[in-house]
This record gives sequence, C-alpha cells and structure tokens, in this order.
Amino acid sequence: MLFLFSVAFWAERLPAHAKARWFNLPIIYTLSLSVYCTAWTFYGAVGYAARSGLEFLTIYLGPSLIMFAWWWSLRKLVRVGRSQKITSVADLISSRFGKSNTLAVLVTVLAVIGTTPYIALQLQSVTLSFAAFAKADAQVDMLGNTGSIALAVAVGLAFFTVLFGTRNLDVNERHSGVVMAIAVEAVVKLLALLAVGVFVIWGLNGGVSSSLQVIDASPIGRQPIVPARWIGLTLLAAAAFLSLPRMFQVLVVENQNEEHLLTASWAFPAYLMLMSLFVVPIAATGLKYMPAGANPDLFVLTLPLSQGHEGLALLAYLGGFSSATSMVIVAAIAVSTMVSNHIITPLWLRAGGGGAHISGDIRVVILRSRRLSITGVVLLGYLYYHFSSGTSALAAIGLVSFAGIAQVMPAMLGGLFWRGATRSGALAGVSIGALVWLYCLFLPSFGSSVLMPDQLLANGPFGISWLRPHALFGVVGFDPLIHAVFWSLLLNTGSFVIISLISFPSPVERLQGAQFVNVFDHSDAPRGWQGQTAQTEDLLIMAQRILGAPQAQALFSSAAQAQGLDGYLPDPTPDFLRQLERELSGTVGAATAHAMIGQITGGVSVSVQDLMAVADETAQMMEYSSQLERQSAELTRTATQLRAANDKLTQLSVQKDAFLSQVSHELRTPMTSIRAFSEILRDGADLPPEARAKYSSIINEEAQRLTRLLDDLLDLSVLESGTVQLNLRSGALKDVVDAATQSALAGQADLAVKVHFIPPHMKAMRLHTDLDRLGQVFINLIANARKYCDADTPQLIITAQLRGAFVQIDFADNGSGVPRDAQDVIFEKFARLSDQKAGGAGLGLAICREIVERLGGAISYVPGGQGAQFRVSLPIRAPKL
Amino acid sequence: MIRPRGPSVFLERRIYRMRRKLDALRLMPLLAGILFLIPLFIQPDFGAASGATSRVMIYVFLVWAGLIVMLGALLHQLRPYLRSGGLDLPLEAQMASPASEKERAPF
Repeated sequence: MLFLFSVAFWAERLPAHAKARWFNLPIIYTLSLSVYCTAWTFYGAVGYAARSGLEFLTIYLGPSLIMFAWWWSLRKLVRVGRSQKITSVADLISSRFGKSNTLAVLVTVLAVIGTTPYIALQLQSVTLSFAAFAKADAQVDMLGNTGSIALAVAVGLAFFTVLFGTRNLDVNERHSGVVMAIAVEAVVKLLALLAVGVFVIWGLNGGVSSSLQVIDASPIGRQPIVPARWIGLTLLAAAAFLSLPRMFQVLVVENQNEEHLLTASWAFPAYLMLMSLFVVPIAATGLKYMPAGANPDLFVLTLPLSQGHEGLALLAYLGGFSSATSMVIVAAIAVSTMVSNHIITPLWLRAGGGGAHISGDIRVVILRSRRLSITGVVLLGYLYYHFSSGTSALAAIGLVSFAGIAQVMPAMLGGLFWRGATRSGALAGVSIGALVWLYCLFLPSFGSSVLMPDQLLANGPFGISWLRPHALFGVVGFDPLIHAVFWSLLLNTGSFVIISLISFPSPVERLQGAQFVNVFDHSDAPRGWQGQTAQTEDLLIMAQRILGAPQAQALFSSAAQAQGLDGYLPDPTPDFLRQLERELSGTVGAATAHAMIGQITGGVSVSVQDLMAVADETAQMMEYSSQLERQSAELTRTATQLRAANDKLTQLSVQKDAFLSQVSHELRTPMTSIRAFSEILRDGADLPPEARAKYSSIINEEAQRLTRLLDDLLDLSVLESGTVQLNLRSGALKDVVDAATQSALAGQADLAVKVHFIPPHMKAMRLHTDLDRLGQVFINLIANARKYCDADTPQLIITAQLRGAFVQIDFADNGSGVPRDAQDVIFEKFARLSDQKAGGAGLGLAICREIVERLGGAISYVPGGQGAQFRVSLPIRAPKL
Repeated sequence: MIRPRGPSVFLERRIYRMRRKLDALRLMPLLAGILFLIPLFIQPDFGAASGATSRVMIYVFLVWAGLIVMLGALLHQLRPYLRSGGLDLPLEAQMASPASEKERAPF
C-alpha cells in the first residue's frame, strides 16, 4: 500500500514535460485498462475454472473481441468522449439524450448498485487472502479479526483515492498519479500470476505435456462447454467491458491520445491472454494437490504456500492485492464522479436557490462532494461486505454485477449509432432492463430468503407462475444467469427501440444525437447559447469557482484575445459560451454545466425551433428585400424615363416659345410689307404703272408666303389628327425620286444629287402608296440638304435598297451633319437647326415623319455617317387605313 | 499487346493496399467471433480423460495469439495512414472513397 502511495506521489510530482512523455506512452494506457482484471480475475478465475472448466475464458474473450473491434466501437466512443468532455457513463448517456439529468441519475443508481457488491468482493478477497497467508505463517499474528483488516484496507483505499483522485477537478487533466499506480499494479499482478503459473507447470508438474495430462485427468477435463453460457457470457463480458464505470473511466476519460488505441487494441488482448494462460493449469494442479475442502478461489496463493514457497506466495498476494486495490480506486473515482455530478451537485444547486450566483466557492463544494462520494462508495462496499459475508464464490457476484451494468449497453450503443434513439426510449429501456435484472438476478443472488422469499422464487409472486424470477414467461430450464441476461437485455432493447420509434426527441436531443452519431464528420458543436444577456463577469466568477482562478482567467483571456479584445472579458458569443460549457462539463458534467450557464445567461438555450423561426424570418426578409430591390430598380428605370421625358418636354416648350416668336415674326414680316405697300398703292394715285405693278407683285408674294405657312400648319394638324385622306396608287420609285429631285432643286445646280438603286433592277420597282405625299417627303429631305449642307461642294447621295417587304431610302449629304443634342428633336414640330438659315417654319421634318408613319413606314436620323443622313423605310404596299 | 511504359495503371496502389488492409481491420471482429465459436460447433467429447479440454484450450489460445499477432501487424502497417487522418474516417466511408475513384479513373 505504501508502495502504491509512493508511485502515485512520484507520478504526480513529475515535472510537466516528463509527465507528458510518460503518459503519452501507449503502453501506460494499455496497462491501465488492466483494471478490468480485478481480484475476482486474479483469484476468482482459478476458482471459476476449477468449478466450470474453460467457461472462465469467456470473461476474457469478450473484452478481447471489443478490442479487436476497436475500429467500430472504441474509436467512436473515445472520440465522442473527448469531443464532448464526457466524465462518466452516466454523463455520456445523459449528454447524448438531451442532457437529461433523470437519465444520468438512473444510470448512476444502477452503477452504484452494480459497483457496491464488486467493491465488497475486492475487500473480501483481500481479507481472505490475508487470512490464508497468515494461517500458513504462524509468526504473523492476525491483526484482530478479518473484519478489521477489511476496514483498514477500505479506509486506506478511500484515503488514497481521495488524495490522488480529487487533487484536481477537471477530468481533462486526468489522474496521472492514479493511472501510473494502476499501470504499475498491472505489471505486478501479471508477473505474479505468470510466476505462479511457471512454478506450477515446470515446478510442480514437470513440463507442458504433463500439465496437460493433469488437466485432462482433473474434474476440469470432464466439464463440457455449454453453448448458451459460452456465447452469453462472452457477450456479457464484452458489454460490461464497455459500460462498467471503472472501464469507461480508463478507456475513455483517462485516454490521453486516440492513437493509444492503435497499441491497446492488440496489446490489451495479449495482456488478457497472458493473464488467463495459466489459469487452467493452476486450477487443475490445485485440485490435485490441495485437500478436498480447500477454497479453489485461493489456489493462486495456497498452492505455493503448501509447497513451501513463501516468497512466491508473497508475490501472489501482492498481485491479488494490486488487483483489488486498483479496481476499488478506479471504481470509486468513476462512481463518485457520477454521484457527485448527477446527484449531489444538482441537489446542492437546487437547494442553494440562487444557483451559480450565490457566494461561496463551487470548486470547494464539488471537491467536497466528490470526496464524500468516494468515501461513501468505499464505505458502502465495506458495509455490503460486512453484512453479506455469506457467499464464498467470488465469481458469481462479479457476473451479477456485469449483468446489471450491461443494461446501459443498448442505450449507449443506440445513442452512438442511431440518430433516432430518444430520451424516452433510453429511459424506458434502462429502467425496464434494470428492474428485470433486479428481480431475476440481483435480489435472488443473495441466497434464498435473504432479500427474496423462497416461496416467491419457487412459485412466483402471488402464485403467478409465469413471473417466477428464474423462469420468466414460463421459460424453464435456462441457466438463471443467462435467463436473466437474456430477458433483461431483450426487454431493455425492445422497449428502447419501440419507445424511440414512437416518441419525438427534443431539439437538444436531436442536435446531440447528430453530434454523437456523426462525430467524425463534425467534432464541433452546433448547439448555441444566446449570449446577449449573459454577463461575462458573472461567467468568469462562476468559472473561477469551478475551474480555479488561474485556469479560468487563462481561458477567458485567450478567448478575449481570439476575439481581438484586451483584458479578461470576452464577448459572450455563442462560440465562447459553448467552449466554456465544455470546459465546465469536464468538471461538473454536461447537464450541470448546461444548467449553470443557463442560469447566468438567462437560461435559454437556443432551440432548433428558435433557429428555424429565425431562419424563416431571415428568408422572408431576404425575399422582401429582393422584392424591394426589384421595385426600386423599376422605380429607377421609370424615374430615368420620366427625367428623359421631362427634358424633352422642357426642350419642346423652349422650342415652342422660340417658334411662336418666330411665327409671329414670320407672320408679321409679310403682313408689315403687305400693309406698307398696300398703303402706298392706296395713297399714291400718281404712281407710275411699273412701280404699281412691282408693289402689287410684292404684296402677292408676301401673301403667298403667308398662305404657304398657314398651309403647312394646316397640313400638319390634319396629319396629326389622323383625318388625312391618302391617295394610294402604284408608281415607280425612280419616278418619284427624280420628280422630287427636280422639284427641290428647281433648276439650280448648287447641290449635286446622285441616286443609287441596289440592286439596280429596283429602278423599275413599283410602289403602292401615296406617291404625292412620298414626293413631298423626298422634296423636303432634298431641300433640307440643299439648305443646310455646309460643304464646299454640296453633294447628296440617295440610296434605295430592298429590305424584305420594305424599301429603305437613305439621303446622305457631305455636310457636318446634325449636332448630337439636336438629333432628338429634329423631327419635332417647330424644330429648326438654326435661326439664321431658317427658310421654313421648322415644320418640314415633322410633316415628313407624320406622312411616312401614315404610309406605314418610319423615318429616322442615322448618326455616325459622314454628314447628315436620313433614312426612310417604307412598305412596298402601304397598308389600307 | 505491349504493356504501357511508365507508372502502373493503378496510380494509387499504395493507398489501395492501405484501404484493403483497413477492410481487413474492420473484418477482424467477425473473424474472431467465428473462430471463438468453433469449439461449440465441434462439440468435442468431454468424456473422462478424453483430452478434449486441453485440446480446446490449446485451440483457443492459438487462435487468440494468432489474432493478436495479425492485428498487431495490420496496425503496424496502417499506423502512418491512420495517423495522417485515417482515424477520422466515418464508419460508413468504405468503398466510395475518393481514392477508389482514382483507382478507376484511367478507365
């Protein structure tokens, strides 16, 4: 025991880097798994083999199978345990099923019920072995009775566990001292058993083949293998290997590095194989050499003693002691973590009312509750031992314990591999399985009439025979253990699956389910806190109480740095809260950590429904905003159009004003001259006839000009009002162009006009349209060219082309063209390029446009040419109006 | 037919081997389960001094040791692969992995 303390102490005191090097050795992890091999295995396996033959091997084959299947099972379990900071089996299941504390309490109770007899068993083995050792050696006086030895061992172990098991709180730091002590003990027990085995085979039997003969000659050689028990026990051992609290502790919680599994997966089966290698020879030899009444459970010890090898016996004793102590220590740590996290702390938080807010160091409270739990668990084991020292068969209680904790298995595996598994299903499965186990196996295991009346066992409750604990539903002839395992696990799994199928999981459950089942896809949690209301300072105060001040401050300041902030207080973002919750859950368990942060942040974890609602709103907002965007784009377009229209209107209004003054000027100029000359004619009776004729012709000309102006205005108004009468007839395009050219040039040669027809046969092409009006358009265009072309040798090229059912006639001159800003308005009424050259009233092109549109065509100005270029396009047959 | 020179058609031969070894690793528990069940199928005669017990015992231990050696050897070879992220493979990711796509790519 002293040795144990010194090893643990040495390991704890190692400097950090040496510690890291030592504990990063996969072999330490592998050896720590040997906590599976308890005193029951060390002493009991031999007894088991002496009673039931090779069947004891199943207890080792089950875990070996699990290790061979590590890729499927342990890899995922360890990853989940590490990523979710799982502290125990209860924590795993509670965390998976929506952080349900009810479930955690249930599993914890089951673990306590299953572990207590097991601890009692260890104490018993220590006392029995000590007694056997002492009996043989007369010099050693017994330290009082055996009970006081058990008490002394229990107190010592509790002290050790409290000392090294609760040095620090965060499970993440792990119990390096404890693990190292267990690894050392693993070596001790293996060496001890191997030494005894070697002694038996070569020392007593004289070789391998003679040992085999001894085996076959012994009662063991006549023990058949019962298939149901062989298979059932293998599976039971496999299940227990994963779900026993102490195994979960060393497998998952104390795992330093996932890669250690690579070594442990073959090295641990090798360890188990070596542990069981000499069991049968020792048992057979013991049966041969020891007196008939000797307890086969102690052959490992008594066989060397009887042959006078006290040194070997001492080694064997140490091996058995190591097995017992390591089991008690780890089981106490594991179970106390559960009890403390899932029962005591929640109760304390509830009783405290203010929860995490109230003053006082939670750290102290948790440590105290954990120490109390450890002492309680060990004490419970001692009491169990004290009051039930009836049975001497060590193995039986071990299997009962296995079967109890195996009830966790369906919920555990279901939670890891099936997303549809729900909290209600797990609750139903575990509780029904546990009840069946209690009823069929645990209570009857105390012997007849201790906890269960004989009569009930024989006839069933109230005489209902199909409820007999060893023959449920009338199934008789089954081995009681296999019977109980079969029914409890069947009903457990059945109700778990059925209830899961018909119930509906809460949002947190669904998220946790996805995280557990798909742990390799995303090791990061999409489970959020609404941090806006959280007070970071309160969180820091709480975290300091749980993690300790330096660690909490380091955590907070690194989070603050990550957020780009100075000091110790990061913003309570969901990410940070999640990180904090994980850190805390490493100490107090997921459910409690969740509740604590919940109390400070205002207690609302964002549910999936909330997220969905938010997402929905966001989608609606986006939809709405895209609608708005569309509308706004439309409005912008409309506004642009309106602005363009407005510009045009303004321009038109300006032109109109200009035109009105022009018109009044145009009208007044002839009027003035007409009035003046007519007054001269009226008053000057003595005017010579030549002058009279001259004045009269001036009056006539001016009157004609007025008439022309008024004609144009009238013409335009008729065209615009749509009441114009078209005189449609057929004629050659060439004739119309020629006539218009002649008419427009009026015999003057100041504009060179060239006409092209493409293709040439278009010259003969006949149009069916209003030829007079078309001629008017052409005349106007040619006259415009003549009027406005500012080239030195003005030139007009008229090109007629056929475009499908349309004729396209271009009038291109070689002048400077129409300025860009005027191009828009030249077809409007009253538009004129310049006042100086104004020959007409600015109505020409407006009239042209009206005419061409009446004829079913279009007239446009073609920019980008050499000079001004107008394009008239006409249908070959004008549409009937 | 002249074999094409240069690299083999199976570009990812090494990765392919690794994946098949991984398959073997996955199948280990099945093999172990079957082998450990065989003593039941044989139904040896456990008569007095028939030697059945020692034979079954030797069989179980041989199988056990064989499986340990096999798993150890497999993991020894797979170790670099598993360390470089292979441990993160989802359980389902087996045949439809990108590497096996590459293997088929030349066709």
